Amino acid sequence: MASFRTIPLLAIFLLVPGLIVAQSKKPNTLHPPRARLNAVDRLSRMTPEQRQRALAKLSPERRAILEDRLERYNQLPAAQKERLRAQTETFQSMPPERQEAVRKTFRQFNNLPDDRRKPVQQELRRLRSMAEPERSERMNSEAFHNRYSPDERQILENLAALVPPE
Amino acid sequence: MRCPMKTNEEPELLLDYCAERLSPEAAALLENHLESCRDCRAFSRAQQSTWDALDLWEPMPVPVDFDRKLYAQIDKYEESGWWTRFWHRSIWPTGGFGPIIPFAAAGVATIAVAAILYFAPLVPSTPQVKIESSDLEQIEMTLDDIEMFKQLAPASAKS
Repeated sequence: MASFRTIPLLAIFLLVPGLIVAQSKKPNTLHPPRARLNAVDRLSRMTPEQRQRALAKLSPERRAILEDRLERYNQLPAAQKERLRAQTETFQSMPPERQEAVRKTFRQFNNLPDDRRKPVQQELRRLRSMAEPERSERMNSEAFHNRYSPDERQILENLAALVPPE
Repeated sequence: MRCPMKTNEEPELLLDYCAERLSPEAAALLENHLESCRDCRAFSRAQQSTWDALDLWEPMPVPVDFDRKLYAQIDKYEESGWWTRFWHRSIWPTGGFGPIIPFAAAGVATIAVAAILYFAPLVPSTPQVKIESSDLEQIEMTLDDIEMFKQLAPASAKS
């Protein structure tokens, strides 16, 4: 009988460390880029009720932003969606420091005044469609220096260099 | 005679008296003391009532076929198959290693639960409604990145 009484104690004694080890890995697990994109797709396929339950942990503000992004992503044409998925997967496979540098620069870009954001965005698109020698020539040109402030030039330089090509 | 309760000398004297283990002379001497000592008299009465209660108790009679049944069980075990003997020895080994099978079962259960918890996020599943907070953060980050590339995409890549 003593043996049977010890079984639950032994099970707890052996299970608890295992559970702690397994659980402690979870919060730090950064899923591979493909898995993250699949999670986005899975969320976009959910019914409104399922999505509401899945996003219940988020604050109303964060949930609104996420749902807005998700909606805009869902409305993209399939070809563009596929291109953005590939680009995001490549980007998220880069070293975390480089990813963070791009995100930081992009935040600076978003903080530009409304009347400056559009010309900078157009310039960036133009630069990204150029080959490297042509891009360098453009960025060293007098017209480029006259048109953009030092901060804007820094943003353009960083994003053109750091963001992976299409 | 000095009081065995108050002086704490020969405290077993009262116990021996109640158990009728004292010599007649010693018992007579103690009885003289009991007449004049209330504490010893009270102790003696309490002890006596315990002995009286024990005298009333009778052990259950052992069944007449107890030995026969015990030896029949032993013979049955000796003649049983190796698996039965292995099972009994594994659960109640005579050595100092304790129960082996419960340990092994608990170990296997630990590994199984840890493996399920560790690999669960990688297993593709049908629409999963419950999403962990850390997963939500990664989804938000991915959508932010998609939005970023959408804004940075060259005009030719927008169609």
